[in-house]
Amino acid sequence: MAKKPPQEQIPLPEVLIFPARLLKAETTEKLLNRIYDDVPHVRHITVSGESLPATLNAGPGKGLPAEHPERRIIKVKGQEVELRLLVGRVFVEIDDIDNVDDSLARIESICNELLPFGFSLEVGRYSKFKPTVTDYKKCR
Amino acid sequence: MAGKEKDKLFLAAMKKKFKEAPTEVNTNYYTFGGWKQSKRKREWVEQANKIAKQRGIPMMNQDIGVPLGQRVLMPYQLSHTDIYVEADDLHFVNNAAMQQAWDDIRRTVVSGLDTAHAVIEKRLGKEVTPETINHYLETVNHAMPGGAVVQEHMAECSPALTADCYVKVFSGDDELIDEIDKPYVININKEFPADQAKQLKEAIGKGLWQAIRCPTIVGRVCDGGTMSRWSAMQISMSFISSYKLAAGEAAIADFAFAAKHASVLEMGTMMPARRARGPNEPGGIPFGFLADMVQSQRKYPDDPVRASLETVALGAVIFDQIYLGSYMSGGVGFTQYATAAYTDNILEDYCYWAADLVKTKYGGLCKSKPTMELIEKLGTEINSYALEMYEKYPAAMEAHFGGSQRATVAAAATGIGVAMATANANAGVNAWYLSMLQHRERMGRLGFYGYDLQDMCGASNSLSYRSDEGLPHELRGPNYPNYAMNVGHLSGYAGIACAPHAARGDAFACNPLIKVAFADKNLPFDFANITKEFGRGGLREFMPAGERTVIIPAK
Amino acid sequence: MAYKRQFYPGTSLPAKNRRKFYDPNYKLEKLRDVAMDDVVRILGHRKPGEDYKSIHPPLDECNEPDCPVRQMVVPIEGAKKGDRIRYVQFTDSVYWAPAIPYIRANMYMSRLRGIDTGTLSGRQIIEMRERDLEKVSKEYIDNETFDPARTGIRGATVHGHACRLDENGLMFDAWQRYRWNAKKGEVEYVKDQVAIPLDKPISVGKPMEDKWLKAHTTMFRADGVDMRDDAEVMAQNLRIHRLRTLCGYQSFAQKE
Repeated sequence: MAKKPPQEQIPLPEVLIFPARLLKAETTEKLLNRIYDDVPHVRHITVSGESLPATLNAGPGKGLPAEHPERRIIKVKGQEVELRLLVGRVFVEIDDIDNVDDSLARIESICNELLPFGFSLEVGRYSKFKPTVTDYKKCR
Repeated sequence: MAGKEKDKLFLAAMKKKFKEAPTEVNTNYYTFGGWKQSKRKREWVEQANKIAKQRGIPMMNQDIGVPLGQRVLMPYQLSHTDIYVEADDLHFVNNAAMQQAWDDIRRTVVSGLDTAHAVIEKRLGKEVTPETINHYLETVNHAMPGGAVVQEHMAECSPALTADCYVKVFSGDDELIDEIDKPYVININKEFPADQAKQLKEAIGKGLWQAIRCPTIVGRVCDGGTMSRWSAMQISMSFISSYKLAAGEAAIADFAFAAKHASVLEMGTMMPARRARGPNEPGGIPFGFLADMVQSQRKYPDDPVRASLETVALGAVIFDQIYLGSYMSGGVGFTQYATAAYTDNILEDYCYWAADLVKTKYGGLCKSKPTMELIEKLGTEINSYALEMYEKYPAAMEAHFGGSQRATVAAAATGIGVAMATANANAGVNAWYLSMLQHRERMGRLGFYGYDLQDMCGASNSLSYRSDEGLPHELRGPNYPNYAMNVGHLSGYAGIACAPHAARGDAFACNPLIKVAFADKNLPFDFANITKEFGRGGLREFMPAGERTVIIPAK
Repeated sequence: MAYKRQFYPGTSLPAKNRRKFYDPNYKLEKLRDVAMDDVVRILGHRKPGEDYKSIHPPLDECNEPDCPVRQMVVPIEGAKKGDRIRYVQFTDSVYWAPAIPYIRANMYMSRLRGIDTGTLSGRQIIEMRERDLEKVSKEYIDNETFDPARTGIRGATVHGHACRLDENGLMFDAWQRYRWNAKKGEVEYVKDQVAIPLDKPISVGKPMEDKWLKAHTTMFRADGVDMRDDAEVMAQNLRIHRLRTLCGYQSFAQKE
């Protein structure tokens, strides 16, 4: 985030952490911070998972607060973020392909510690690297 | 860690990709700056704010910076491409390439010239030569986009609006084609590999056919039923002009009749009144026609699986997203539902696995007879593999939003695999239903209620050819009774129509005229790279036809 | 007639379990006892003790026509009283929930009267006269077809059947109708089936252990018993496909 990104115009590799369970907010918070603290070449982390809406969006209770206990504010690198998902995938973007092997080993070690129910790791590119119509639509 | 070796290989591939072929894009954009980094985005934001002000309601939310990216849906990768887009980008209203794919199909009419030439020679006693044909083509290429040829004071269309409109000819007669001016020709010998060109020329024979592209804008303002009328009118006028005929003589009716009825091929057949569509509308396109519009086999002749998958992708958009999703249901389109068939390489994995299985255990593609025993044995193997993937890998299970998508993807792979093994599309569609029955029995779950009906009874008509009961699969389409409301199925059915022919090395699946008509580099949509084109549409890189800028106020 | 109803083919564990579910002579094991008033609260159609709403007068006041079919079919209690039709919907996780949608449908058809049931990939609804529905709901929450962690009672927004489980082993529910009470080691409903909050949590008991779930599964799975390993189930399923293929809609006419 605060780091100055390298200037090469390329899609960078991502390490995908795929836990065997959907993660609690507490676990997510620990995992993200450990990665940011212990893995030196991380540029950015994106998470995806199951949406936890703030309010019921259908049915007779439409509009009532959903009050899912895992939808809450967590601290990532000292900043408060409202977690809106039950996290199922963590995408760790690495700043250079040459740093992937080392990052992968460090991430694996962190996951072994924090995800005792199991996980798998993959390397690839899973996020968009070109803007699409949606970006224009949403003014990103 | 499981799969570490594979990861290592993948790393090597990534390294090559990133270091040696950097793309033009700026990845920093996503992670750090938000919309403020982009001039174009800022313009959009300003436009949106302006519109919101005028309408009195907010139109867009500006991106707010967050230290952690959170996404409910990760981007979709267009299968067999490197393009990632979001679900909204694959809605046909947001995707210019999808719109153009449909525009290019709807505005195409294939019309024979032999009947008209016979009338000119035998009834009017005038000679038809390559020179007169060239003159006619020059005339019709003026008339078809809306130029006046006969009446002096006829209003004309602005050429800038109809620049995508033209007429080309093709034939199995090489000598005749050699005599026609090159810009007017789709040259089968140049566009197709030699063995495919030979098949096509034999099938088409010595006849001379026109591929007519009516203007995209006309298709949009009027409808598919207009297309053959528009083309017939301009063809008749061009004959009058180029052969110096008297406009009132009875032979003119023969030209019109030939161009409207006797020698015309519509891309979609007429539908019954209750579905309220004319010809050249998506519900009337037989699966075999759609398979012939797809040009993968021409460009990638050694990859029949790709041809099938490209047909699936085109079928998903034309049949599921546009036809059933909007034409018939009136809804905003079944985008997320249909995308499962052409994104994230899931069906890809199953189909290539099936092809490998057929090659290694069943003697090769097209080597098996389409017996019940074969369909049961091979169908069970492919279907079980597909279902196992969902059971073994939560990632695959979660890639689809529900059982209907699992059912369609597993059944499409089973159908395509069996069709390739047997060179028989009806055997393929029978295997589709085998997959559905096994899926329901094995998992105790399938899709939405429709899967309880169509997919439970579909085997009963899968091998029937009698007209009230069935058809060869290539001639079935969305209008076939049992398929008329088969949401989520039609993409797979279209792929099954393509698969046996691609596996055999056939140049076409159903109609050689359609195959050649779409082997046309002047079409805005590239029918040899369907998923890539949809991806370009999502990336805002695709330039469609149907432009109206010249007749609207400048911004 | 010499024919004896067989319910389901096969010798494998899932086949045997399916047979038990379908056979009305087999008494489904009762594993918990959720109070009837609490079941009524979870269903959310009426308050405990509140009168049933009716959509027609009791049948014996309706001057029913002299109809042989009406005489043959004995109405269920709710129909006799004119109750409205209400629903319960169960969602079954792909990760070893004891029941699964089509198995539920067949089981209900085999064991219950007066129901309308609909089956989708993740959920399965029963529609029924209200007082009968309440009895059936209690029975199927209490018995071995239900696991507190992997089965959900969800009238709307049922997404979760294909998702990985939460860290605490519960099937995902965006509306968090139920929660894990770590102190008691039990699952508690804090909202009714359409996520209207309950006055107090209702426990539906301890989740079944993995070993029990695998022993009671009705699923054929690659990481359990593959359907191909049960020759009779496979043969029966292929027979259905073959008969439909070869005989159209007249499979009875096929000479085997």
